[in-house]
Order: sequence, then structure tokens, then C-alpha cells
Amino acid sequence: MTARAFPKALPKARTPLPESLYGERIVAPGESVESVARTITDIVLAKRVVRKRWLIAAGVCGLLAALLALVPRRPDEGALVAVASYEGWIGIAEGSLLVSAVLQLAGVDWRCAVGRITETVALLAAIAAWFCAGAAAEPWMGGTGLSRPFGSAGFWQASGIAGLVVVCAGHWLVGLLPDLAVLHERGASRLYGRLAGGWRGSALQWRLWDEAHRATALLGALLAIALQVGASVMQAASAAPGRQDTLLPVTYLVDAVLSGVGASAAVIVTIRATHRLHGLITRRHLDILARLILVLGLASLYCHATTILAVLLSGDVAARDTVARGFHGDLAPAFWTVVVCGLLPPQLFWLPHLRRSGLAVAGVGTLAAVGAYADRAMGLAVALRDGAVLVPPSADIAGIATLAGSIALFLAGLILALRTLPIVSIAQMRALVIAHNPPVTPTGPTPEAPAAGAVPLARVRSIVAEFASARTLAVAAGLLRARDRNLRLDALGPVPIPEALEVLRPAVVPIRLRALAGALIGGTGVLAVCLAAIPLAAGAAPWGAWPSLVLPSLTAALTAGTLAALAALLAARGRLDPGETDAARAGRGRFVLTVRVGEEPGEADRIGQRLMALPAADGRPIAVRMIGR
Amino acid sequence: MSLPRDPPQEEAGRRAEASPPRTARAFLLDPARRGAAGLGIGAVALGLALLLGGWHRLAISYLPAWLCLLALPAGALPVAIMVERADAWRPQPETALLETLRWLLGLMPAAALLGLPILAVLPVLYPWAAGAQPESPLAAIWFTTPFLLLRLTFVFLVWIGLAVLFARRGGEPWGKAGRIDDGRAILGLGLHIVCGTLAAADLVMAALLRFHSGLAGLVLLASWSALALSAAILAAPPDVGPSRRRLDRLTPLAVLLAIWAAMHLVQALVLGSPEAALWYGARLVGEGRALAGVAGAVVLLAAAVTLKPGEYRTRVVAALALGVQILALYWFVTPAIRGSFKVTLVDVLALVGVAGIAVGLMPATRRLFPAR
Repeated sequence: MTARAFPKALPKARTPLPESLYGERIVAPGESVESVARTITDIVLAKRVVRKRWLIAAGVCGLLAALLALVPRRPDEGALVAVASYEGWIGIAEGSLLVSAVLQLAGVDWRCAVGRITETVALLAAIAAWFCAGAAAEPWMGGTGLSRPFGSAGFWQASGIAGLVVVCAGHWLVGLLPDLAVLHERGASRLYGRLAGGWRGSALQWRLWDEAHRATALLGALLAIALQVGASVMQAASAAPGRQDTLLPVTYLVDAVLSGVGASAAVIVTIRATHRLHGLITRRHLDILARLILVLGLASLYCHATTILAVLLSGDVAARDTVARGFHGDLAPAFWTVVVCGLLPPQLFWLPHLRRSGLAVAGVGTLAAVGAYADRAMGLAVALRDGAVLVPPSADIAGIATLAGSIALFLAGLILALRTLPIVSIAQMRALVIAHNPPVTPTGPTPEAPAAGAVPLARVRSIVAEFASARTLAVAAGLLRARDRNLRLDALGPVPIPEALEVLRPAVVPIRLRALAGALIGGTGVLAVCLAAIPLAAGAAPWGAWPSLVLPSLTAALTAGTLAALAALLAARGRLDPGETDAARAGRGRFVLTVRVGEEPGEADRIGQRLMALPAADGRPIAVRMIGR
Repeated sequence: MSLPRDPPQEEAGRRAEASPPRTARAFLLDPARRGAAGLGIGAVALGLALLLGGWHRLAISYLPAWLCLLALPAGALPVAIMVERADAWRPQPETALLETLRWLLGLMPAAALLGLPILAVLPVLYPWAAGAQPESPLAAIWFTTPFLLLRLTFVFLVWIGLAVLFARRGGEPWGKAGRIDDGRAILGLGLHIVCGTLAAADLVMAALLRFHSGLAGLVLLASWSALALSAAILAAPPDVGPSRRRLDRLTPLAVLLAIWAAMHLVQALVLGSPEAALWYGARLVGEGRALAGVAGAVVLLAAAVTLKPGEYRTRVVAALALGVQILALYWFVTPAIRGSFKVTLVDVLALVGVAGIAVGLMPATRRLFPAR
């Protein structure tokens, strides 16, 4: 179905391009709740031979990364490429996380198809940055390993990366939880079932999941901004003349988001093409990604042009010299790479037909990431040559090995994630499909009265009623609850069911409060430790050492908040009661209302009759089953 | 073409036609007489300021007062585009806030006209016009009167064009089904940011010799937008019907204030040169420091109130933010010329005078705008 939505066999020249993409669908018309799950899980549950090939490719990449990490390094060589690689990966991670989180918080529906890929890119880029900082670039970065002295800049840098990895992973895991249950049900190994735990897809679980996902998105966005702006403020404040510009933090933030969107766009287009996801990731997605790259490219152009203008208007001689070195000097290769890769290619997306070309989106996205990398390298070249660090800013084989190793590690992780986990969010895509391709209400004969089957009415434990939509389920639940307030109802579904939640009104502690409590405890705890442990100069005010206080405390707070949200969600899963297995299975594909039947004789029969008496178009279930004790 | 009038004005206009005003307040609020009343009040206020402070002090007070006026249309422009763009995917009922923001765009021609007196007092306000040594070869060309006139003409022509374009839903007459599209939104925002940056460099940062912050343009744009949005929140009547549930008025204001404060913080942390220390030194003593503290408190208050928003709370925050932003514009500009931040009676009179003249010019300048 997905492949047929935009057939590849159709010659490009004949493909009708709409005048405006506002009318083009965000999801192909033939997609349904079932087809979405099948398309996405089929990637993971592919034939063993196919899977083996992909896993071998991942293993080769991983091995290559391990080998490249072992290339001997000397502290006085190759700083530029290695450290720029670290900063480039950090930029991609923070940019991807930020854009994904902001889109989710804004409730943008087109992100459903590409959000998981963006989150995966963020996580893998953060791990690649750790690879560069932890093993490969260690000799050059003043010690960024976790074994470095508490309070040193290297320690905080390492803890910042660790926090970023944890927050990216937390946000990613929260999003995966319901999809793991679907994957397990469709035949994946038991491990997926254990990870999903007691996920039944109840209205309450969906609500907590949504809340946790939004909370981790907010915390992730704040962490990305704090780390990016904090690091660039410190760099700009301590940089040599010529890079000490107030716009530098904004420039770095824009470049980070541009590189994150660019790298994510390249990965999205590749996955769309290799796994034929044209029905889920449509040309509308390509167009929107291209527009994003264009806007960010314009913002980056503004930042670079304004910086140069400010220096040429009122900068001192050293600053003007740095700009001149960019035009025609030792910084020219990096500067012109920024212009040719980062600033000019996004302008191609003023042309509508290029915005709808997967090749163009992937190519320009990759070039934008390269341009952002070159900008970091240029900043480092200025700092390394003009600053106090006695390191030649030249590339050598060890630095290039660091970059190649980090790319290999990223690819290994990407292939593993693609072949072992749902690379597109099943839950969010199903919600999108239900909104855009509403299921046709069955118009067949009225279902039979409660199909007790072999279960005697006296031994009925619960009634499971299936509905065509969340709205009809909510109507039925409301009517049953109006008749009997003590009735124990639960609603299950393949997507969040806020309509049912309004009727059921379960008592629950909001996850955002737990995340806030976790953040406060984590932040204040680390702040207290910092104040106690960091030696201040005699008579110096604590806020004079703000980089050693604010950033670590903020990172700790946001990381602890993410962990608290994840823990609260995992705890809320509970354990799946064996008696609820059938209902949970039915709830994976349809909206299901379960009614717990009491000991009163004839109660099951009465409830069943009430359900069947509901109007066909407003609350009557499409199937009713009785579950025995 | 008939003049577009905001709904409260139309209502008042109908009432005025029915019965002539009998009190001074009613006379001033009568749309038919508002222009003449505004001109009168403005002229009296500026005359008093001239008498009290002389033309030199009036010139110094006039610049921030005019910037406050310019902030209303120039700050409303990006907010209107963003709010409208956010809703462009599906048909939505109009909100009173969006209507008010569009109405503010109509002040742009009046702001451009009222900027002309500044050109006559350039040597009082800007060291380069008084013959100071240029800081760089480019500055020697950039900061000359003809080149400045060329830039300001470009800036205001673009701004007036954008204001005319976006004063109608979707930037019609070219909009499809009244919806703004990405191209128009990007073009509008991009041109606005370029114009704002040029205006900030030429009119604000040029007032202090040997100091230029690349971030100043964005800081000023954020400040203008926060000021315009605060004013629009205060002026717009409460929404009724389906519009009421649609737009949270406080969150955009809280976000704008947070961005503005964060950029100030970043600028303060990054700058380490003696010129920058001088710039902040003139602003962070006495009343300037108090204003910085109050501004920080208002930003935090706006963020906190988003947790439990409400009509009354939103208006209180908007009123506080409006006051802070007006004072912040004086804080940004006047210490460069006076040496320290202090609000004087001449400043207040200049603000009243500029506002009054702008109201007086409105009936004439709004003829540029197509009828809705």
C-alpha cells in the first residue's frame, strides 16, 4: 500500500506536480491503522537473510569505528579535525533534539513520520560526540574523561555530553514504549515484550505516555539550548579577537539546528528510499524539510553577514584581520567551505521542484551539516592559533581517523536502530492516519447480543466491546457510567484516547510534577555540591564562577527531570494481568471498552443489552465478547 | 477607498453620529475629532518640552520617544506574520489580538514621517555626524549623511510596503483563499530582520562611538515585538465565540520576553572589551540597575503566569511588560548621549508629543492602506 501511493514505476516526467503543496496529503490516502503497523514492523521482522546482511553491515561499521579509535595519537598533533568533529556531532545532536522537541511541543502533525528518525539521529550524534571526546580526542581537549578532577572544565564538558546522551535516550525510549508492545505482538522476540512490560494501551497509560513524551521533549529542548548557548558564550567570552562577537552564540545555535535538520533530512530521505516508505514519508515531508533548511540557511546567512559587517564597521584591527584571513588567508579554506556548503546550497530551495526532490533535500542537508562543521573548525582554528593552546591547527591521520571512526559508529548505530526498532513512530502515525484517513464505520447487520460463547453468564469476568472510533467508545462509556457510577470501566486503543479519559476520569499524579520534582532535586543537589567543592578565590563572589555553577546544575536538573519522567512512566505500566491479554491484544488495533462484571447475577447480561441498545451511529459497539473468570 | 477602522472605533463612530459629544473626554475619544485632538496635544507637549529643555535636550528625548512609536508597527509586523502563519493550515476565525496587531501596522507611515526631524539633529545624537574620527575604513563610508539617507529610505519604504501587505489577512490581494504562505512569511520576516538590524545599527548603536554589538539588532527587534504585543494585548477586546479558545495571548508574550532577556544576558556575558564595559557601566547604575531588576522580575512573572493564565492576569503582565519595554528603549538609547540612564520630564513630554502627533497623522496616513 505504501509503495503504491506514489509508484516508483511512474516516469518522473509524468508525475503530476501539484501547483501548491498545501493540498498534498501528509499521509497517503490508502494508509490505515493496520497498514501503518505492518509497514513499519516489516522492516524489523524482515526475512532472516535480509536482516543478516544489514546486521553484518552494522558490525563492519562498528568494527571500523573500534579500529579507528585505536590509531595512536599525539597530544601535539591533529587537534583541529578531532575537536571540530566533537563539536560538529554535538551541534547535530543538539540541533536534531531541539527541532524534534519544539515540533512535538507545538503539536505539528507532520512530525509524526519523521520525529523518531530525528530523535535517533540526535541520540547517535550525541554518542558519536562522546566517542570523539572520550577516546579519540582525549589528549587534545584538556581532559574530558570522567576521571578528570571535579570542577575542571573538562569534567563539566564530559558531564554535559553525558547529560545530553541520557536526555536524548530518555526521550527516545519514552516514544518507543508503545511501539515495542506492537512489535512484540507481531512476532518479534520476547525481549520486546519484556521492555514493553505491562503496556496495554489503556487511556490512562496513553495519557501518561503523552505527558512523559512532552515533558522529556521540553527538558531536551532546554538542555540543547543551554548547552549550545552556554558553550558558545564561554567560547566567545574567552576567544581571541575576531571571534569575540555577541552574535556568536546565536550563530552557533542556528548552525547547530541547521546541521541537525540537514543530517536528519539526509537520513530521512535515505530511509524513505531504501525501505519504500513513500506512503508514510510523503513529498509533502520533503517540501517541509526543504523549507526548514531554507529558513535556517537564511538565518545562518544573516548571522554571518551581520558579524562581518559589525567587525568591518567598528571592530578593532585584530578582528578585521581575522575577517580578512577568512577571505584570503589561512582561514580561507574553512570560510569558503562555510559559504559554498552551508550558506549557498539552502538557497536552491527557493525553487519549488527542488524542494520535492529527495536527492536535492538529502544533498543540501548533508552540505549544510558540512558547512556547520567547517564553521566550528574555523572558530577552533582561530582559537588554537591565536590563543594560548600550543597546538598546531593542522589535520593529521589521527584526527581524520577520529572523524572517520565517529561516522562509522554513527552508521553502525543507525543500521542497528533501523533493523531492530520501529524507525517511524507507530503510535503517532496511527493517530495521524485516524485523523486524515478516518475508518469507514461498518454498515453491516447489527452485531449479535453479547457472544458469551462457551462462557456461562454466571462465570463472566468482563465484557470486551470493540468500537469503530474513540468517539463512539467515549459515548458508550459515558452512557454506561451515567447508569451506574460504580461500574469498573477501562478504555484501550491503538492511539491516545482523550475522549474516553474525560469520561473515565481516573485519579493520577501528573508526570510533569514528578519530572519537576526530579529536576529540582537534581539541580539543587549538584548546585550544593558545586558550591561546597569548587574552591573560590579569596573574597570572590560565587556568581563569578558561573560557568562552574549554572551549567552543571542546569544539566543535572534537566537530566534528572528526564530520568524522573521515564521512571514514572515505566512504573505506571504495571504488570499485564493474564486475564487482560485478550483485551490488550484487541486494543492494539481497535478501540476497546472493557467492563468488569461484578458478582451480581445477570449483571453481564444487562450490560451487554445496554451496549447493544445504543444507537448504531452513536455508541453501539461493532463487536462484543464475554471473557470468563 | 474607505479607511479601515477597528471594531471599537466603528462602534464609537456610530454612536458619535447619533449624538454629538457633550464632555471633553467624549470629545477626545470621538474618532472624527481624535486626529485634531491628537495633533493639538502633541504640539502642546512638544512645545512644552522645547521650552523646558531647549532643542538640544528635546532632540535627545525625541529619539527614544520616536523609537517607542516605531516599535508599535515594526514590532507588530513579525508577530502578526507568525500568528497568522501558525494558523494558515486550517481555516480559523479571526482573533481580536490579530486584528489589533494588524491595526498597529497602520502606524508605520506616521512613524516614518515623524522620523524626519531626527535627520535635522544628527550632530546632536551621533558622534560621526559631529565630526568624530571614523573607526574603520568602512565606517568612513557607511556613516555619511547621504549613505544614511539612502539606507533609511530603503528601510522605511520596505517597512511601509510590508505593513500595507500584511495589514490584510494573508497579505492579500495575492493571497490564496486569504491564507498566508511560507514564501510571503519568509520574505516578510527576512526583510523585516534586515531592516531592523540596519535601523538598530544606524539609529541606536551609532549613538555610542567605538562600540558595536552584532546582537543589538536582534535585541532591539525582540524588544519592539514585546512592546507591540503587550500594547495589542491591552488594546484588544476579549475574544468571543470560537476564537476565544484559539489563541493563548500570554505564551507568545512570555516567549518574546524570555528571548529578549536571554539575548541581553548573552550580550552582557560575552562582551569584555573596555568599550562594552563603558556601555554597561552607564546603564547598570542607579535607576538603570533598578530597571534591569524589575525587567528580570517581569520576565519571570510572565513565565510563571503561563502555568495558570487568565484574562486579568494576562493584561496585568502585558501592562508591566509595556512599561518595562518603553523604559528599556530609553535605557538602551539615552545613556549613550547623556552618560547615564534617567527619565526626565522632557522625556515624558516628548513621548506624549510623538504619540499625539502620530494619532493626528493617522487619518491621513491610513489612506495608504487598502480597505478590508
